[in-house]
Amino acid sequence: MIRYGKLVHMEVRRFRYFLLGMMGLTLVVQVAALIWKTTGEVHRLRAGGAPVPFFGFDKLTFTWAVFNTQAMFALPILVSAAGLALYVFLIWYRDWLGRGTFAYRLLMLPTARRNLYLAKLTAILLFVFSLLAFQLLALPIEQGIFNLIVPAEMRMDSYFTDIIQANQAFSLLLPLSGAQFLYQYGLGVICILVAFTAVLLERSFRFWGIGYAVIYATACIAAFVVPLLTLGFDRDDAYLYPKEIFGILTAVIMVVAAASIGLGFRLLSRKITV
Amino acid sequence: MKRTRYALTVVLCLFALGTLGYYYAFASDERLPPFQLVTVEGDAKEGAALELSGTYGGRMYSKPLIVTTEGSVYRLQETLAEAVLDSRSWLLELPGLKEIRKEHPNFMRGKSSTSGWYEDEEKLIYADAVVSGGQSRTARLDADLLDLKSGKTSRFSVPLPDQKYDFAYTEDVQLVGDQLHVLVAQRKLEAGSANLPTVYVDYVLNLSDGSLIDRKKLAFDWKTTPGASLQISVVTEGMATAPSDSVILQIDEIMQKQVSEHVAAELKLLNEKLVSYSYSTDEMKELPSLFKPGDEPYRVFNTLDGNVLTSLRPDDDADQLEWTRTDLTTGKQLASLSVTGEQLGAQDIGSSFAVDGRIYVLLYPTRLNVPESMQDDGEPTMAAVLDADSGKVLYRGKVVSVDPKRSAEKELKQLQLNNLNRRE
Repeated sequence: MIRYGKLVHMEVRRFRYFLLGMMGLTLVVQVAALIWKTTGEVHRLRAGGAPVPFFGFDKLTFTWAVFNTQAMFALPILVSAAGLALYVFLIWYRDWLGRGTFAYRLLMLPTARRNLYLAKLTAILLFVFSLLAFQLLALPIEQGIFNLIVPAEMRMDSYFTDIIQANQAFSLLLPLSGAQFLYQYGLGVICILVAFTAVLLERSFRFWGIGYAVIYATACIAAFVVPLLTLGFDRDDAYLYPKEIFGILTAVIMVVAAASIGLGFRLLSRKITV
Repeated sequence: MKRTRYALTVVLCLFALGTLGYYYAFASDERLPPFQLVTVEGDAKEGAALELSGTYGGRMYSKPLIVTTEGSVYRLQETLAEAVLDSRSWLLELPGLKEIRKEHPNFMRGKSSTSGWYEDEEKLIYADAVVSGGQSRTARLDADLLDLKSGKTSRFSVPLPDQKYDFAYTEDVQLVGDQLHVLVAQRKLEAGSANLPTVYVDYVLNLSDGSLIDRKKLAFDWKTTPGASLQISVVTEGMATAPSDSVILQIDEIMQKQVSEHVAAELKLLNEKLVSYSYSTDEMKELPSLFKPGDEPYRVFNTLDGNVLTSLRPDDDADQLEWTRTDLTTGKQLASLSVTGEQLGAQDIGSSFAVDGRIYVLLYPTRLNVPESMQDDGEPTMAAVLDADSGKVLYRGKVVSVDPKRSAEKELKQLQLNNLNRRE
């Protein structure tokens, strides 16, 4: 357990500047977009421009600002998401491609090798959730900046949930339903497990491993997508009932997760080469 | 130094868990106002069956909700699980079909027509007219039978004699003695087809061997105004599986114009008739209709409860509702009544429907046909249940805002309830 914690910490330390960079990029781009949009509108209103009603309200709100800067608010989030998606692979390859024999040293640590796997998975999840948490924290800061720019007589308060729903990226990444958050990120975790196992297949069998990895990832995707498309949950004349289709999909997901973890642990302890 | 070695990871964990935990525990709650349907007069049990649905508009996006005597439930973002689990709820929760799904789930598999069902004490039958294939299309009638006493199932499939039609839909299924009657609507789809009539055929099958023993094309002897066409629809049963000797057809004479190859723009409803067709005698009989010249399409709402036909008609100003009840077996009119919104303690009548000998009415406190600025907002939407045969008020209830910390008037102003349903 202690070794696992130390390995997680090592992964966090290795990624800390990238993580801070993503957070900084998010704040800078969103604040810049907010200032640009809001000051422009305040100047227009002060110059005698007619207020443009926003969902029935004439006054400016922070929700209005977020709604009208869709792309600029979403851009740093998408860049961060793409960066983290790439890092799911790099978190393994940097051990092999880095200085000297770092992967060798990691594999020789006096601890179960599965701790390496779990530490990398934990680190990725921690980065994802930290960025989400940072976005949640950034919104009140940005709302404060909005309040500083817009005079009190021109603005009115926003509901926090309206702000989340005002941007498509927010409502996708931070669903208001806790259950949806668990389903969404639960599926995300399984995608990471499949990617990890694919990387370990490639590291274990090298040239042939590329083929194995592609086959494995394709099989996992097909195992989920084929029943989803063929069992016809949205077809009125489907043979199976929705509850049965849901049961099958849940079982498939569990099998994919168990197979990925089991195969990953086995490859890491028996097959991997440096 | 050693104590702070893991500080970065610990802080990051606490930050992520704390912020997301706070968000899902408090901040993601939209804190939407609760509403409730409370009894003004009558039997509270009648009110417990009501479900008023609409939207609450006090947020950026309107929030769909349902109000009952138990409180209000907002239909917010659908989760991935709900998207799968509720995917066919419109079909699987229908009165009659819901019971079949629970009692005979294997028999119901793969059966999607809502009007292809028949059930009595001995048999459960599903029949469906199917047109399959492209150029070499075949039209056939499939029927599945479940003997409720022995649990045995049987299936037969017969080709339909009319192969020229591109579209076939089962409108009604009834059993008369040993003969299975399947009423099928058939239509050709081709250029200018919007004005081609839909043909209604009663296919009669021998239940013992599944053979087609007769086919009766329903003839509607009605001279139409030049340029007008007849639009026929089957009056729906309150219970999808209910046995009945006859089917009621609503025939609308509509003046319409073709706007594209397959689409017609409806222009004006010229006349409307109700006709009953008896499966046992083949007799077609015209029934009294509440249609009045100048009515818009679908103004009169007809529904069938066993052998009793109920017709509802709100007047032009939506402040009065009239209805008739006719026993189709005897031809006797059981009731011809009306009620105004004011008699029920409101101004205008919203939606209304008849089920199980009751009339369900949604009531608005303000006039619908006056400018918004003149409306007296903040008054509650109401619902009433009346006895269909006597017109007696069985229940009257109003929607209230139940959070004492909020301004009831302000919250009710944001509430728009447009639909009334009965919970099963």
